[in-house]
Amino acid sequence: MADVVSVARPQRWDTPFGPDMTDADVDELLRRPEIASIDLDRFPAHTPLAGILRNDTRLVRFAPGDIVVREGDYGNSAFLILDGGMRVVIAPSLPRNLLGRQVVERKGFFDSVAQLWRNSWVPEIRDRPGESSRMVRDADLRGSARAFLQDIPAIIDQHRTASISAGTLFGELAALGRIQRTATVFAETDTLALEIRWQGLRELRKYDEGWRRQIDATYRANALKNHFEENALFKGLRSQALEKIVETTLFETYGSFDWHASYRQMRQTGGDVLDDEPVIAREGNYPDGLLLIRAGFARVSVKLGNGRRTLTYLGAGDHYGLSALYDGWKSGEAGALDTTLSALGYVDVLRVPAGMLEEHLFPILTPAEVPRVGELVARSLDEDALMEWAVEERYVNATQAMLIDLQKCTRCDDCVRACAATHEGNPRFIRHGRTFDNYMVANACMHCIDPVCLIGCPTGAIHRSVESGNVIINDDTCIGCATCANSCPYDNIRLVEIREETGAVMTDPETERPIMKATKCDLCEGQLGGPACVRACPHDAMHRIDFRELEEAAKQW
Amino acid sequence: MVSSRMRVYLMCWLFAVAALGIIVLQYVRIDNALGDTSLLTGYALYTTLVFLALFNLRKRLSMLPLGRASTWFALHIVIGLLSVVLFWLHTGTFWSLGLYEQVLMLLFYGACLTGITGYAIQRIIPARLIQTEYEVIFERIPGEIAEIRAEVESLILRCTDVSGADTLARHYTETADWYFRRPRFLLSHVFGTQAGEHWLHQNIGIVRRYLRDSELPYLDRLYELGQRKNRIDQHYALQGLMKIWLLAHLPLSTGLITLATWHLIIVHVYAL
Amino acid sequence: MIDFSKFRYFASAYERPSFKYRCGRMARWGKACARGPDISGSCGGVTECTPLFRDGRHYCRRPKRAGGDCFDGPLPDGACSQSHPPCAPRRTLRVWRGRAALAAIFIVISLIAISMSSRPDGVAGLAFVDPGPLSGHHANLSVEGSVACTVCHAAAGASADTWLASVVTHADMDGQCTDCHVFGGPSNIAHNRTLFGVTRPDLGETTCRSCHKEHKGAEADISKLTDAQCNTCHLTRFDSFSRNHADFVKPFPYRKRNNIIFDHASHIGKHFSDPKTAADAPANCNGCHLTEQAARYVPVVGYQEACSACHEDQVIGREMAVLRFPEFDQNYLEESEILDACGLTPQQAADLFERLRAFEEGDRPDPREPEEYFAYSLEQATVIGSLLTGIDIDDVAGQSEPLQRLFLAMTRSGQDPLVELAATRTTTAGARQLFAGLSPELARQTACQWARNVEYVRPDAERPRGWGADEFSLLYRAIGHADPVMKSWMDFAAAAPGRITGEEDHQRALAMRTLFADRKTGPGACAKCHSLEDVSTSDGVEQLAFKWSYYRDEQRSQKFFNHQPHLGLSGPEIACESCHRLNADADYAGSFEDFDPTLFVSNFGSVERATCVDCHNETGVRQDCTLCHRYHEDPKFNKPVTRYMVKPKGEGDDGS
Repeated sequence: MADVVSVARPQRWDTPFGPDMTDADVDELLRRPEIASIDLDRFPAHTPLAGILRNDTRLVRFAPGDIVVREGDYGNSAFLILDGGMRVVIAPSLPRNLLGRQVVERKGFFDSVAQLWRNSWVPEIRDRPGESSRMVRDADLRGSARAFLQDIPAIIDQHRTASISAGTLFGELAALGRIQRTATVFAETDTLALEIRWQGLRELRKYDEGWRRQIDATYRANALKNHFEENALFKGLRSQALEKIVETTLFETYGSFDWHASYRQMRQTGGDVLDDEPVIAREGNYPDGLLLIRAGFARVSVKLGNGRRTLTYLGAGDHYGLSALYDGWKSGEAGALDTTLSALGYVDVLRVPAGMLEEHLFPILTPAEVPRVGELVARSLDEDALMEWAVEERYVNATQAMLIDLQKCTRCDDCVRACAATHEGNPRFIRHGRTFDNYMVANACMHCIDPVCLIGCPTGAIHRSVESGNVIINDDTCIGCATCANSCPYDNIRLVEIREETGAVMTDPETERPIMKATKCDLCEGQLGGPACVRACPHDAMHRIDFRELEEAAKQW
Repeated sequence: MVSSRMRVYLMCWLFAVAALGIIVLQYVRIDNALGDTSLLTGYALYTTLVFLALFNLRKRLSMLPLGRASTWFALHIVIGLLSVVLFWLHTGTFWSLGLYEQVLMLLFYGACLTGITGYAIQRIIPARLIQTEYEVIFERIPGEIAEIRAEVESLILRCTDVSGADTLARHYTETADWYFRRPRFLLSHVFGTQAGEHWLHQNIGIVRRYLRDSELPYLDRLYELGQRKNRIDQHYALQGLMKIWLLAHLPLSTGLITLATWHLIIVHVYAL
Repeated sequence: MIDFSKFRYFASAYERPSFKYRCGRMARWGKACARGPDISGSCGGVTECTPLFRDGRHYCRRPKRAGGDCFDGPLPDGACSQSHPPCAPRRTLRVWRGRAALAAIFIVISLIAISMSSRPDGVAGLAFVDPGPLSGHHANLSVEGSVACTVCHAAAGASADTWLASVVTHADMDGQCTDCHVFGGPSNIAHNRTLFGVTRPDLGETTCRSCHKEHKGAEADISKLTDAQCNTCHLTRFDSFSRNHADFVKPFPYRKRNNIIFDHASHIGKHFSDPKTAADAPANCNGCHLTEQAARYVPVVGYQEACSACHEDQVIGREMAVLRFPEFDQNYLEESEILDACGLTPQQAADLFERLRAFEEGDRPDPREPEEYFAYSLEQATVIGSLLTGIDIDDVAGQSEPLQRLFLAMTRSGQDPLVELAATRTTTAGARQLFAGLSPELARQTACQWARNVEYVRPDAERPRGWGADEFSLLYRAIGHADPVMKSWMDFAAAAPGRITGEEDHQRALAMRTLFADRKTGPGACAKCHSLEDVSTSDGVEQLAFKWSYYRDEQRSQKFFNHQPHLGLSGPEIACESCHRLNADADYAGSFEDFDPTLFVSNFGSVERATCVDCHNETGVRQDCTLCHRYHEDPKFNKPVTRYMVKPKGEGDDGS
């Protein structure tokens, strides 16, 4: 039997968000009005407010022009401005070069080739923790290479911006909703900000009523605004009209935040998934407004025989009920919905009242712009079968599902070996998975639009890459608690026992259990040329796809 | 609509035909000038062989953006076929006279034939695997079979406990145990016949008339497990076939490259 | 059907294709243990966990993927309760595949090494260098009884370092070929031919292996040359002989005139039908041409059988006057000198006796007045004599003294003075040859007579063949055809103008040549049939020569034609005229008036390509290039080739 090496198991807060935070800093923070108003007693003993501030926040100083968050980035932290002022760029967006986009450090050619001999065939070798830099390499740590804007007056002149001052909390939308940053924020003056990683934000929202209210309010306001501005349907509206619509729009959520747990349970017990889905709008009912999906997925279905047939599914940016409302407005008679909309997991929905639409939107809308379900209904069951399956299995959540065409796959395992070759000799997926006809969705991370695995990670080791939005795990900060693996509805995160170079399994000296690390596909982040598995397939059998694009993409295969 | 795979193959064929055209034109030109065409065709052939071998290297260098492996594979196929033409252009004969040249030819023909066979296998087998409506990783097949065997054995024990009769147990140890011990009827699976299914049906059938009613559910479950194993056997045979052909192709290819290199040296030493 | 619970993250671990071992239990169709083999390839352990001992208790530590804490828990002594017999892990299929690939390389290298280290005597077929058997004769080559790779491949017998070095150095294969094979010209020039000694670098060099490819089997014809190969260099390309080969350049093949002037037209048209000569005329071509011996050329029967019947009289009939007693203006000789050499003639003796008797009788004549000289002969000197002595035949005064002196000298020493004179115009041996067979007595007698200013009286009436004399002349008459003396005089005459300088002498030499070259009157009638031809060399000296042989001297190596298979093709008769068609209008004789052999008008019309194409075409007999043309110029073996010849069996055994 292999020797067992004992090292200290990493704990929550082993790696503070800001390593430079001192007790004095925490005391200082506790005196700030935004913090001082928090009721300390509501926090449990194992996560006191001081601990949150100490470990889940950090103080960041920005010079004028420094970019704080970029539009389009994925981030997992929010900012509370303590001193100074910032500006948020509303429209038009700053050009990409001005944003000084950080590029994920790509491996050089030599580094790539060196994997040939540096990789070990011994599974899961890691450096001894504690010997090298003690796990502190937080991928989100903002280093000295911070981009800044040089000509602030010109930007303020050319772009619509809004000023935000001390006491403002921003960025919580992206941090909590696991979505991209909606706007760029830069420092206008010398600014001191408190950066709170989302775990901390979650705790604050959870235990403090005031913060919850504030977070939800800004959350809703920002979401609505940005969402309407981005939606093609409302592009033609004047801004006063849009303002009015925003003011009257209702903000709703369906499904639970941790939908994955109930979904998994349901699937294992074999219940009818569709019956348990929260219905947002029902077939035959009369609509009172247009539904816009802001986040998450919703299923559009009609009754067919003894069941429900899925016509399509809606994701962020899609809308529902337009045709019924429009036809009703045209004919003067109220039109009934011809489909049912139900939530797939957790859905953020915006409800735009019918009156606002009739007043502002319908007059400028042509009938051709109104989508119809007719052609979807006309499709054969066979044509839709794959989509029905993808919805059923929640693969619609994927942006990079590993789809293998078994008609072409020779089971040569070249993909697995390519994966191992790019990950220090360790594969990061298993070439098995659920199959449908000749398709298999292999057990590889799908880099979900709604990455539920991020929920609950105590150290933030699993996060979205700032640059690519890929969900990646920081191996150094992972404590092997399996929260993410348990959360993943697709079983695409796997825990491994880490070993020394000799092959000996490292164990926790306290419990003498092996030290585990969560591992999964990182889409070859940092490797040259993108996902090696796809490139390695000699038979074009493997594809990383978003199921929305499956039909178009499949024509090319 | 032309699929990307077809487009790649089309490009490869265009490339190969163009390359062959250039080589043939050069060949004719040199031949007309009484030059030594074997130098041209020989080096062209050696280059193609090296390129074909590079396909293996590409698999090892999967971390580098060296183009899609499927493109390499298409080139491997097309250039492999091109090399046959070049080979005959080079040798001018189907069977050489010198011993080492005969060995060289044998290796080449061997590598070619195994390659073509392998290609055919890879094109045919996956479609047949889908029809099993089952998927299993080749390396896990022994474990799967072991699990089924364990389940079958506990089933038989339970049956004996419940019914108090050892008819099924006897039949199992005498006959069915053989079936569950390891993959069976591999050749039948390779050729797509149903010997396993037939055997199972036959051997479940012959014992049924002697069983009590309480034993019948166990027999049905046994049959069910046997059918699952039959599918796994099918996967074992077919996936194994998709792996085993390389066991011939690879050594033939490495031997060929080695001897071709020797041939190159010899030609340079003796005649150039 | 598929149990998806097996895909749960704790139930299904990564498959690691790069891992070199698999559980031995799996190889025996059992379930692999959760630990799997060690990286060293040994069993990962017989127990499922190592229980933890803490606070006096043992705790199970079985990992979740192996099922989590086990039901039985650790044994009282702290050992794991779940144990398996150890297995012997196996290497994976992939490892074996890699090993097979390496093994193949190893086997091939071993085969090479074995065959190279035992580079065998006489079993080259087993060697990993032999690309195939050699053709016919090359297969028999050997060096000291073993297979002779080194004969052609210099590197074959070399030491290892030289052998390796020759990978990058050039192997001079042609040099090895020309060790044995030599040609009439440079081996690396097309057709081994230089045009007037000039090579044309723009045509490039040729190599032996361009055409001769070895190791193609014992039966392979390595010297076969295809039309296409010819076409590679020859700029005028054509598909085939019958289709578009150039027409033969007229007159074909009668480019150069014959050595023997034989007018087929006049002979066949006139003489053979003349009643006077018809009896001796041949019935057909076979009468003169030996068709039964036909090959490249068809031999002829020769003079004796073909010509002598009619022409022998002419040969011996035409005399050659070498020296003549011409008209003199006065006597330049002392009588005593003549007397010393010749003595008295009977007339003189009688005269002297008369005078002595008169003297005794007292008749004492006065010292005599010098007698007035009168020329006894009114002849003209010979052209030959004029050249030998350097006199002018029209100049009576000029020629008298030298000739008289010559005669006087001849009275003393026979023909020697003549030989000496001739030697100044040619070699001494040549000079002797010119006067071979001339008896000194004849020379002296004629000379004495002529010195005495009287004619020579031939003792016999019929003058014999060979040397002779009449009243005023020293003559030569051919003994028969191919008379050597006559031939040497002909050669002497033909060569003289080119050899003799000096204005006057050259004119005399020309005159002599004209004399001999006269077809109607020339001595021995040689020039009637034997053509006089310009054989000037490139250094500019004009040189003519009589052609004695029927056959022309030069070889036509590329073109060869065999008459033999063509005989009788047009019918049962040997029909030479199928191809060789007589052309009566041709000015055959006229083409011999000049000395240039290339200005020739044949008796026969040109042979047309169409005539050949009648048979040599796509549907008929061969028509490839090498049927008529040969590539190499004068291919031969070099002497050293014998070194490599295989000794007859058994001979090598006796240690010799």
